[in-house]
Amino acid sequence: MSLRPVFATLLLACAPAFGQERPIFLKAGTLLDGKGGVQRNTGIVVQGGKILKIDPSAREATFDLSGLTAMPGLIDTHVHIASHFGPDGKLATREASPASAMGYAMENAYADLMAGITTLQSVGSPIDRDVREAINRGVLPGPRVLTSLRQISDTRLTPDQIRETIRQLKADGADLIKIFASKNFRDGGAQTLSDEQIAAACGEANTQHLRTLVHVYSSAAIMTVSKAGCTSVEHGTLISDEALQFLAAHGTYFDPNIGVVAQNYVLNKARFIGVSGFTEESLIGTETRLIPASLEMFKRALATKGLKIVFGTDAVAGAHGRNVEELIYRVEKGGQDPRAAIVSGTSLAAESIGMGGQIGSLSPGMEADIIAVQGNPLEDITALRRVVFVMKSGKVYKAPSAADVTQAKK
Amino acid sequence: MIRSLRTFLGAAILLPAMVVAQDRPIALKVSTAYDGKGRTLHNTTIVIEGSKILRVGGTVPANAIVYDLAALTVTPGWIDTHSHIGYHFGPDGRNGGRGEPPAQATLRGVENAILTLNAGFTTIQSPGQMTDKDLRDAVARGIIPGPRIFTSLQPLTENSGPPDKLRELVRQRKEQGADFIKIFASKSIREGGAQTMTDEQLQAACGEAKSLGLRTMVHAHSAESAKASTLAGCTSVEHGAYVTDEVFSLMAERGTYYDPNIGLVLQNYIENKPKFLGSGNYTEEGFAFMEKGLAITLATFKKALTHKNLKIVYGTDAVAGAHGRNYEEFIVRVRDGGQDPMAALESATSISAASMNMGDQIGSLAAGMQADIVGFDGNPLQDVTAARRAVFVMKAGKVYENRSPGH
Repeated sequence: MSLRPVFATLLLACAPAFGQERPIFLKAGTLLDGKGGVQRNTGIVVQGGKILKIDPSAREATFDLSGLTAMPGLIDTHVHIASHFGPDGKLATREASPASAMGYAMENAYADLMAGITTLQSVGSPIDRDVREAINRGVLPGPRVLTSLRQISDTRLTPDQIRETIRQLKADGADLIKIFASKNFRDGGAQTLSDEQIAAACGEANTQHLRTLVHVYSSAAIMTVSKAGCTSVEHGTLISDEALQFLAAHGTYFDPNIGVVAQNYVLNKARFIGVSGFTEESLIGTETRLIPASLEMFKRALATKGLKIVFGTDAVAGAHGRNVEELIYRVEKGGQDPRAAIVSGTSLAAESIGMGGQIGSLSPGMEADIIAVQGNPLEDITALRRVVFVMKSGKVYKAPSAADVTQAKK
Repeated sequence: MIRSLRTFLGAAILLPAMVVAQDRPIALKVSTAYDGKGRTLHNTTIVIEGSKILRVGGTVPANAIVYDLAALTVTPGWIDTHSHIGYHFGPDGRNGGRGEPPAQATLRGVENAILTLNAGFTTIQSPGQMTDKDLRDAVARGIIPGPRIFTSLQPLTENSGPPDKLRELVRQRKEQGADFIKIFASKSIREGGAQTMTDEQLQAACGEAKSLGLRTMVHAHSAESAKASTLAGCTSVEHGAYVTDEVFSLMAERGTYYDPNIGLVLQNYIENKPKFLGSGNYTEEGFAFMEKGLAITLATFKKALTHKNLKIVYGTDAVAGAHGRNYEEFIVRVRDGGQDPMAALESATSISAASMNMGDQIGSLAAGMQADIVGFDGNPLQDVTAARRAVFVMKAGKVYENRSPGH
């Protein structure tokens, strides 16, 4: 660790040979730091993939974002990166070839990155590991990927078998564990795994220093999950006020997914019906029951003091690249304070995935994951749709046109 | 159809802002542009609507998204007619990636595609392997960045069978989705390059391809193999390290394209020797020969330049390690081969486009053409090394790279 400054100095000495080592200066009209702070007319200096300093006196601008709002790259804690529509336009359940599957996964990764998502958690598919590692090589444009590889859902497993599965997932390279602990909303959401199975899963994961994301809908199951020390509750549409308070009291993260996934099913109805259990009727239920119930639940979640609500979309086929609709919906329909929504998609999401020291906020030493949008999302949350600049670890993947900046100034 | 439906639904229901933004015209402010056909444009505006160039010149439309490229030198997107887009070093750092799962190999192919596009190459032709198809189709869906890819799928060789069998294989490649046919008619430069396919085999393969509307690219090093390919009506002769004046004259007369590959492929093998040695037919002797090959191919290229009507296209034969450095061919042709830089640029744009029967869609800057446009930091016609600095890359009206000069 102490070697690092020495290396940095050595690299600086031959800076011209290493493009990425030259400092990059960003001028920012408005800067949201991801922790609720706002600064005006400032600059960000990036070097070696990290933020060197926030400096209002910086003169030079490699990228002029002065008419824009700069903020940390967004973190979507819940996506399915391999999910896609096939050549027939329907949700793909079988892959034509591993190569073809990979093409679609890269497409999703790219669409998410261009939409301002610089880190995502995929929960998950075995091919995610190859996607993660390929992106990490630094050539393929995509968000930082964390993955569960597989899911734990088999109710026949003994607690010991569950523990063994978790150790195997760790050995296979999983970054986190995804657990299905209850039925879906449309099936009533009753708990499926027993209390002992849940305790075994989250207990072993904690021992292995792996986080646990639990798909769970009903209150009783949610409290079981929270009690078992699981990291976060996903979906949770049927949660009671009591269970919400329980999550807040136990520090369990809550990821409600109210603004993208169900709407995407409805939007792309014809592409889902007849596949994976989707029917005309089930999608009517999605539209008339799940969407309103989720919104009502979210409003109660917002009213729950101390509850840590993170940004996750559950993005599947058709939803990648539209991740920010979740935050827009939470603010516009759910009444969330835009500042809290952005914190939820940046520093709080980072903290929930154990990366609060590296990503999710703009301050010296953090990874240079920086996006810029036209407009100010604190005043108009739909500004999040207008991502014109994307940098991940100091590398620029999307740069604005001159007009993006000047027109935004007007 | 699927895509347009999705866009429509998006526009109607969810994302008015984004979809409208995409529909706005783009205007590029340019101080120096080369149109790919020998003309230089000064202080003009290129207006793009959708995937195509609407016009060159005139005023900036009121609602346009403007990119100021006045500090750059603008050309059509470059075309590499001969790039093995799937070839890569595997996780072991060696050529080929032995034992690598297909999904991982695809990701390496996507990497090559992105490196190639970022280098300013908006179209490539891969001659070819079966897995090119998935890569081609993935990029063609329009989300993953990469050049337009054309592929021969699996090439044909002298061992593919007698003339009738070759005709059948040509038909089969078309069925499988090949964009053109790749034929090996001679040994490699490392093995002396003698003709391997018979004249009859060449006539069968190139004749059948032509009757199906497919082009043919022939790997041919020796003069006799290049001559046989020309007489068989094949579209282009690749490599041609030992082609003679007599055969160049014949090629010029018959309109056969010549793709010399003098600036990247051998240099790349030599630079990455340890990664290739021991795989395929890459032996110490082969490498010794490739060292000599540099001078041979350069001399042949200089000879080719003296044939004024010979249509020289821009192919690199890029393999593992070379993708993203496709511009080196231009540098060697101009700096070492003495080619006029404007002619070298035309080779990499309009002439290559014409060789692919796409001269009316890509390879030049004019109204109605695909908006494949590259901006260089510096002027490659005055300083060949500026070809290494593509800082603005647009393909089909979509901006993939937009860096400030110097970064």
